[in-house]
Amino acid sequence: MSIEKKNKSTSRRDFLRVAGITAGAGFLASCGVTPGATPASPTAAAGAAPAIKYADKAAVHRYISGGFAGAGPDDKLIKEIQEKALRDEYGLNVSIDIESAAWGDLDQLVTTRLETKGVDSLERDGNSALNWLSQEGLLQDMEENLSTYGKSLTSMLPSAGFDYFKRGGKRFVFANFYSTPVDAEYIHVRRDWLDKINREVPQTVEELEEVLRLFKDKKLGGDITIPMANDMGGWLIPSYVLQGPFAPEPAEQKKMLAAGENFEYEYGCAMRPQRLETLQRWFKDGLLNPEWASFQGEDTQSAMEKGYVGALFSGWWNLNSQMKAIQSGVDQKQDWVQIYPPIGLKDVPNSGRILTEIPLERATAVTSWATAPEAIVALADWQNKSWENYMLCNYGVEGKHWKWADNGAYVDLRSSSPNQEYSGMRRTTWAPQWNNKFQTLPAPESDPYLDTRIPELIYGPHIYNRTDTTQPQANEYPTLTRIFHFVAWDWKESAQFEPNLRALRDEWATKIIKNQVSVNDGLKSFWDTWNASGGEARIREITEQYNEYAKANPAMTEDKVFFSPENWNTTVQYPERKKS
Amino acid sequence: MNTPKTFLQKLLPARNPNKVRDSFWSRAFDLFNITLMMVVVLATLAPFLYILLGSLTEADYYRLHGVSINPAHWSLASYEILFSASSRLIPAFRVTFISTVIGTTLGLFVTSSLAFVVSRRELPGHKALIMMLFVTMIFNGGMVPFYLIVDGLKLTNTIWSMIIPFLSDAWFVFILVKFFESLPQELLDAARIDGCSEIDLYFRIVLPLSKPVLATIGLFFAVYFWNQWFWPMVFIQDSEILPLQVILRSILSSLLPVTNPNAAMQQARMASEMPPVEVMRMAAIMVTIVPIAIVYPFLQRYFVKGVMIGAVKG
Amino acid sequence: MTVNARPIGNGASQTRKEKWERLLKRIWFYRYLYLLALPGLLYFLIFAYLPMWGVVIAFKDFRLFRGFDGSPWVGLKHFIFFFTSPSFPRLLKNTIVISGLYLVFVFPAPILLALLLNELKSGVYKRFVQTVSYLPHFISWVVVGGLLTYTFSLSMGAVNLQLQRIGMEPLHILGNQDTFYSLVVGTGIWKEMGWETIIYLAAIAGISPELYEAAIIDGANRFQRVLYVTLPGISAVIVIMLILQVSAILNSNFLQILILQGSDASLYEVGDVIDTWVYRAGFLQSQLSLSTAVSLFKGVVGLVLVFLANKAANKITGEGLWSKPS
Repeated sequence: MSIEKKNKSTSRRDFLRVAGITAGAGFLASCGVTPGATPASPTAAAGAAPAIKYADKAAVHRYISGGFAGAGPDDKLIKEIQEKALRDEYGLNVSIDIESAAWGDLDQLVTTRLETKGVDSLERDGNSALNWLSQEGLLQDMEENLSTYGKSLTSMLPSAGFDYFKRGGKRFVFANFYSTPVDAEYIHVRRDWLDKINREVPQTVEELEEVLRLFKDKKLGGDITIPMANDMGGWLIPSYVLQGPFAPEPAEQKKMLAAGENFEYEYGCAMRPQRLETLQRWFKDGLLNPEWASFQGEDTQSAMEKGYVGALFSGWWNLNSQMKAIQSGVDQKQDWVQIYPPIGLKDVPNSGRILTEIPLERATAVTSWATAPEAIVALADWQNKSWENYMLCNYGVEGKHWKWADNGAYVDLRSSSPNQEYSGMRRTTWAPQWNNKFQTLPAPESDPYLDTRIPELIYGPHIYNRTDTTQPQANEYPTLTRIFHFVAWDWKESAQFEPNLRALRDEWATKIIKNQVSVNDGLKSFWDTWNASGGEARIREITEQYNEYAKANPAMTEDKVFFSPENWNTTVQYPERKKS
Repeated sequence: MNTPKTFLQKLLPARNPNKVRDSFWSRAFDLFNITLMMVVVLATLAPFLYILLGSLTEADYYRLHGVSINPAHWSLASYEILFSASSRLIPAFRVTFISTVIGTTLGLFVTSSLAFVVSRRELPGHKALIMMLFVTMIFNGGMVPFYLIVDGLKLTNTIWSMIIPFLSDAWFVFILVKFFESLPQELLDAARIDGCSEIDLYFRIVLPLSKPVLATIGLFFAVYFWNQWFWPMVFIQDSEILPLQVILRSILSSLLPVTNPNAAMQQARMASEMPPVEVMRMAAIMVTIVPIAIVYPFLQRYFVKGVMIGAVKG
Repeated sequence: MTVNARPIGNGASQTRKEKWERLLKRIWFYRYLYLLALPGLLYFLIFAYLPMWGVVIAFKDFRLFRGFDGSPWVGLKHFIFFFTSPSFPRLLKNTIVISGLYLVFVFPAPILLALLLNELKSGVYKRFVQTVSYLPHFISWVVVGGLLTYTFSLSMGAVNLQLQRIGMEPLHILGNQDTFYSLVVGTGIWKEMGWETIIYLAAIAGISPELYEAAIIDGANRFQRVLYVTLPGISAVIVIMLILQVSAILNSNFLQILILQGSDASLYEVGDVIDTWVYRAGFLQSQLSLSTAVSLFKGVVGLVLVFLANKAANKITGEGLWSKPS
């Protein structure tokens, strides 16, 4: 008891040194850009290796995947199927033990396992993988294994996913990119409230503000009216909400990077003065939820269910899940839509766009002490080799755990959580091709999406899935990204400062928005403290890396690569209004 | 009870010496105390009742109005869902129960035997023992070495990994030491004169007299083992032997709205079918608290006053 | 064995050999006691002392793949980083303020409650109150956070809804720097007061009833009995708890503070303590060296404080963590 209770024994409280708190998301949703993988047909398994490796005794390989609370009874079944396939098709006799934990606990599990060498390979978000890679010697390279066992993987995952994670010309990680422009930038609004004030869906920030004022003045939610809410506490700051309209134009971004001028780039424009001013004004005038910083997701959900909320910043999927649940169940009067095209600034051309971020989503890496590293490469390769394999690894056995409806929709046959027979945990990084295919399946007839435009738009052509990275495609989703493909990540010096730098940003942004300090004073104080806390090192590192990158990849610094309004799709119509 | 009686007491008819003259202030204080305690009860019971009622409230009603006092809006859905995972919950209950019972018993033995020895001031090395214990409260090497040692002892992935590394704690030892020290010396000396060895002394005299404090420390141990979740999560991979809290946490988190674009459909389904996550959480809390709340009143009789009656002779 | 069998040394005139022999004789005399202590000693040796070598990581730059031995020495680098961080003064201030508030308000509450409970005449009522009062101990802080929102939310909280109904202004309790410390103390008392009475009640139960009888005979009224019998009777326990609390001044009720901070970063100014900072900077970034260094620092401070507190306690009350002043 000595260790865990080190503090408890002197302060006698239930001291959990590592608290599994889920205050807010446990992971960063980073977004970014993905070059398209040529949607090549996966190559057939290059003939099973003649002799089976580890034939005498199955080599054990331990893998941690993310976000699953526990294994289901049928996980063993899937394990057997997978391992048999690995023997038959790849000549590997391995036993892959997969562990996972809920998002809130995952960091601790991963940290502990890494520190005690209790894991062989891991899957985590792109940023974590970058972190591991910067730790000298932690990972082993995959060159040999990828060429022997990873042929499908190599062709199906975007090549940039490998390139980002190269050291000395060798690939260390395989990653997929976000299939969608990142999540929390979307603004949703209640059309039934708009009807009451006789307004159309806002197209500009100014129009949105006017609408929010009317919501408030007319108390459309009753005594408790929250014109604009955000779905997770504190997430308002780092999320991409309202960053698009206020983001620096490409030319300006490039200047900032090359000259190391200031920190705004680093925070994806979260701290742009104009953005903060807008949010501060909304807070002061009661247009923004006064408890935006402390409301958790469930509190906002609760407020929405009770009819207090008129507009919401949240992830795009919210529309077709939690909001849908409200609209079809608890309060059918609510008519929510996601504002599209994204709102811009009045009279400022092309400012109606989403700002995106680092493109990497999931990444899998292998530790330097791992035995049988080829096991995970082979599993990932097999998983992505075909649609059927993908479905098996993610969702289980067809007919037993899921089936196809007549209209082609996916129907989940498993018992609901927490009793799912197959947990879904026996899978690794996925190919965008399959993921996109799954996400754009037709909706079940009995349960149609309320707004079908959104998944189509999101998974349609956009900056992440261009077939040719440098060439915009027609009908792209309106996005502005931080310099295309540039991911500053080798934080040799400044990695240790990261959590505090972020905390400082959160702290000052919160104080500014809450009107405790003026925008100018707040930004100055922030800037000074941030620099003194290691921010200076961060800026220096970004600047150096960017300059190297720009020299090596001049094509990637052209504007059209990351900002091509002439190709944007901005003409989508809203679904029919609900009959009240 | 052989204090020599005063002359007056010998004269007057015997009455219960504990009965107090009920002065006015005394009674006023009683009233005040009773009221104050009632306030304490309300303050601590109210949130608990809220949680209980919340766990019983029907999903849709909860979404619109919050917790319901009216049984008409109650439903056992949250418990049904929790216990539908009985295939995972029941082994977890069993594991937790076993580890709690074994852990508490062993822990009490290890801790109190050490504490007794430390409380013997005449023992050579007494100060050294105290210092040694004390240092463990101040310094520790962190999680990694601790894990490596447990792993080195081959305890990982067994129930014992939840028990053996947690059998004692310097704080508990000190509490017991203080208590043992406070036992009247004459009592112990009397026993020694009667021919007791130190060990006999410990088992036959000291332990029985220490019931209140042993029950207390035992309770602390029991609650600790009952609520364990972090180290079992780290030490144990085999889901069959994961304890209650780990399973409950995992059940709960599988119900949380998933902030992952790729799980939109799953989320949609959960949003419409499941009770809100707070309701589920409340049910999980009830499942944790109720066994403890049932056991504790039985332990209370050990805290009865007057344990020392009749112990001192002459 | 007679009572005189205990070997008694005679001091100055012993030769070293004789002293040594006497010591060995005494050890042999108590051999069964040492045996009795063996399980406990073994436990602490293996699970408390053996892992202590991990402390060296505070002076190294921990590299995951190299483990403890392979990581390079960097001396005091992490300590310097911690002390020179711009956040340090604030962290120190917040930590000490909150610990101080705990000492003044949260520490005495269970003692007071135990004394009051002891005065209840009805055993049933007493057991009832006690059982109910410790229930909050089992509610995790995460849930307490949710309860706080339910009760005190500015727009939706039960309290403010009622206030608005009767036409009053809502109270801004959550997410407010001015109320943070009150929330810390209030929730701290609410959550742990009942549970911590257990130890004090056990101590009270150990007071010989004869002492009360003697006091009554001497004419003590109720209040005086509490003051002169009960309190002194449990003073040993109170003193060691107090010493431990004082030595823990740089520690915080980590989970509580984290929950009360919630996701509102403007509260860092009053509420960010050493432990929460280390959690972010150390644990989440796998900066094992940094968290160990801070732990070590806190440990050393705690050690010094314990000695001081123990000395003070000895002087004032004659009680202490160890019986003789060190």
